[in-house]
Amino acid sequence: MKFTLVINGAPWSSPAAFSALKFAEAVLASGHEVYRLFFYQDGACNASAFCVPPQDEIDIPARWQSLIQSHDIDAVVCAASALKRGILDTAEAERYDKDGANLRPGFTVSGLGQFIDAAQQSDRVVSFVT
Amino acid sequence: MILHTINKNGNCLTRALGMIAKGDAILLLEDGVYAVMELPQNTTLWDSLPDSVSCYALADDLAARGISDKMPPFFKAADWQDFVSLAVTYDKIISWG
Amino acid sequence: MSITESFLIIATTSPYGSHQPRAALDMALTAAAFEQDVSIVFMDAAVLQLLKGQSTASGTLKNVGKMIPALTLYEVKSVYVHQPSATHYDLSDLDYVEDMEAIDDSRLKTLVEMSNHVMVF
Repeated sequence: MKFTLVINGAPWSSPAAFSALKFAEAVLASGHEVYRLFFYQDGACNASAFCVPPQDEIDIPARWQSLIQSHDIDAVVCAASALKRGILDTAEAERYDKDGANLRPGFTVSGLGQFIDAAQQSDRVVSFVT
Repeated sequence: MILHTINKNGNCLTRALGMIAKGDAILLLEDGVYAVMELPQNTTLWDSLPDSVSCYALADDLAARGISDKMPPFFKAADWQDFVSLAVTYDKIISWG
Repeated sequence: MSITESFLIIATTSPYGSHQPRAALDMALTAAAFEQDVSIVFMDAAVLQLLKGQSTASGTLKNVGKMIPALTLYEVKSVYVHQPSATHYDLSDLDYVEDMEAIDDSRLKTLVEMSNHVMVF
């Protein structure tokens, strides 16, 4: 089955991001496909390349990146959510004249329509909410 | 048939229970697992469940909260793969909060 | 994108305490823009989003009440107020920013069962 996951929470601020990560890993371990990860609202923060968690805590953004890259998963961050929270790819950083881009490799920024598309194309949609 | 997930301790469960039909399933996760505790406020809610609704609580979250041994008999502990299996079995998943 | 699916958005929170109301409205409007069959229900504290007379001029908050009429304007098919929630907050038609169709628990349960996707905010 094709799964789309919607992640609405920032890493560590609520359990949502970690629950989504564990679920995504279990989907793949069960032989199913993650069609898309859609990071919405505070979930955009999972795509930051600048998070520095304490050494004894799970680096959730890094775990996402590893999962995304090793399984070639389409990981989309909602553009409006990303901009508000200061998660910028190179193009947006230039457009808004910011000092640097911080979107993690493996993630792309796009519109909420990507969620609608994913909902249509997937067999199951699971949301992780705060 | 729907899989209803509840991840908070509070009125999200009441809201969800109003929308649950026969043959649906419930999965408690994160702080939602506190609803397994046998307290009068929880018992009232569970007594109102329609027939043949399967109830699950995420094992990792029960363990983190020290309440793995507090589940009533009609609840089953689920691991992450069980969660995936439930998501496959049921037609859609609603995350109530 | 020719597949039409039904999306039920359930808003549950008051207008200015979090970004949930905006997230719900954005999702409803986007789904409608992609020609999906969209319904939105204002339930529990979200009925307070419907109050007329919200005045955000003093701050930088975006006025949630003013966004409500955009739903039907941009072809969200059905916009409902959950009647038991409205009763809980002692609200009636006179209090809302525009005419609202009421929905009871029984009809809402049917909508929940029938919709392809149910997103709760």
